[in-house]
Formats: sequence, structure tokens, C-alpha cells
Amino acid sequence: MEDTVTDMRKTVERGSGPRAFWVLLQRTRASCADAEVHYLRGDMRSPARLELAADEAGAAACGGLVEVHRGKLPGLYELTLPAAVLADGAQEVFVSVRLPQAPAVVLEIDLVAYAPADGGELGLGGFRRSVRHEHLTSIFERVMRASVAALLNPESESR
Amino acid sequence: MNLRLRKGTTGKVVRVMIRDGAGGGRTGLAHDAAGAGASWLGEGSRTPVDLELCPPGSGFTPGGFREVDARAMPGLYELHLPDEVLAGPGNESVLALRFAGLPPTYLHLDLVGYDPYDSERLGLSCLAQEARHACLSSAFRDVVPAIVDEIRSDGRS
Repeated sequence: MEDTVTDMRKTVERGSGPRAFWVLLQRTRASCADAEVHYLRGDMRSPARLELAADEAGAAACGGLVEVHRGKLPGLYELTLPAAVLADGAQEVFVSVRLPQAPAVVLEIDLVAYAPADGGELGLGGFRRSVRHEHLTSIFERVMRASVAALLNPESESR
Repeated sequence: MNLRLRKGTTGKVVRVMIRDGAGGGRTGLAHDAAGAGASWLGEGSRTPVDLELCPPGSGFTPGGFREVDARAMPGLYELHLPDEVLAGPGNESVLALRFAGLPPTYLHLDLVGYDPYDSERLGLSCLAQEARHACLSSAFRDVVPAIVDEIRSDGRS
């Protein structure tokens, strides 16, 4: 039986880390501890290695790679990336995950300025209620002052 | 396979390509094929939930699975996603379809807050008629009294 190696693409709001991602890896006899993870942000010249670490319970810590469930979700791993990898300053980051005796899998992450999961305002500053309120208030005030002045002093308006 | 859907979408039927180890479309699979099974996982969980595959009925049938057309589109199948898979609370779900002798087929679901298929306001609540009306009304309410007060005080002086 041959496993499929899949490269993946994700879209996340920049600066939203640390955050876990699912990656599909070809299964080998190697354990997560043998994995190599590198990342390359748009603002970096060369890839950096991510040190994998696990907490005392063996669960993912920042930079941790954990096999989710070998029987039901074969090949699926959870990779937690530290905040620095997803920080503001780059538009994309490539993450390469490799287990011994298996090809590397590349996860491409688009670091966008909006929040895809925000169904209210999409994380856009211009859609914030306070911003729209302030904008509308300044327009109304200007228009109303001009309208009232014209009503109270129609001659100045006609001149 | 990646799909981007609004979180909370219901009654969703997706089409999934199932390939054999050599990369070709695998035909002839059914819900009760040897080793057939499916599991899904929501973001933040490490406990997969089993999904029982079944033949689809005339309408939406959670877990419904059928081959589309083995001759015209070999390897393409239809899967009726249970609403829970798309309900959140996380922002993504992953689903694996398993069959004996085949690599698992993964369906990765990005659960976004907006509605990619809403051409009017992208499903954003801040752009709804009521929300825009409320924002306009509150701006009016804040401006009018101040200006009326000014006019009154000007009239008195």
C-alpha cells in the first residue's frame, strides 16, 4: 500500500499565532521526535529550523508535531507553529515537514490582513462599528451645519 | 482536497475524488465496500468522530455516499456531510475516507466566517441592512442634539 503525500495551503490572519495546523505525512516507522521542520517566511532569506518540543504529557508544545490517530486518521499530524512564524511582516510562510525515509511535505500559509473566521467584520478595521460611527458622525455634522446655516441665512447661501 | 465553507453550513453534499495507489480514479466503491470507514476531527480536538457511511436517500442523507458516474468521471464520489462537521466551534475540520487497500482520502474543510457565495454582503453581519441602519441612526442621534443645542444657545445670545 502506498500513501499519498499531499502539499497543503492555508489562509490565516497574520499575527494570529501560536496555532496548530494539520499536515498529512507519509507514514514511516519514525516517531515525531525524528521529524525535521523548517520554515521560510517572505521576509527571510533562508529557511530556519524549528526545534520540536513536547510538554511533559507528550502533547504538542510550540513547534510540536503530534500524530493525531494512527488507525482512524492515518498520516494526519498536528503541527503547532510558534507565534513568530505567523507574525506580521510577511505575506506568506512555507513550512516543510519531513520524517526520516519519507518525502518532505510543504505547507504554504498565506498570512492575510483579514480574519477569515470573523463573520461580523472580517477583521477589517474599516468595518468596525466605532470607525463607521465616527466617520458618519463627522459627515452628518458637516452636512447638518451647512444645511442649518442655509436655512437660517438663505441670503448668504444665494450670494 | 480542500474546501472553504461558511461555518454552520447545513445539508452540504460534496464531491470527493478517490484515487488508488497509482493515482488513478478508483471506481466501484460503495458505503459497504471492504474496509469502508470514515472519521472526522474538528479543530482543537484530538478525538476522531466516526461517520457511518450509508446509501443516500432521495434527499440529504448525513453520511450518504455514492459513486457519481464510473464511466464519465471515474473515481468521483458524492458524500453527504453531517451538519456537525461544519458546525465548529473550531475554524476547520478534517475528514478521512478509508477503504481496504487504498490510501486514505482526506477532505480538509476551512470553516470561514463569511459566505463566499453571497454577492451582496459576503455574509458579513456588519453589512446587513439592519446593522447599517443602526449605525446610521446612532450617528444621527449623536449629532442632532448637539447642533440643536448650539442653535438654541445662538438664538438666546
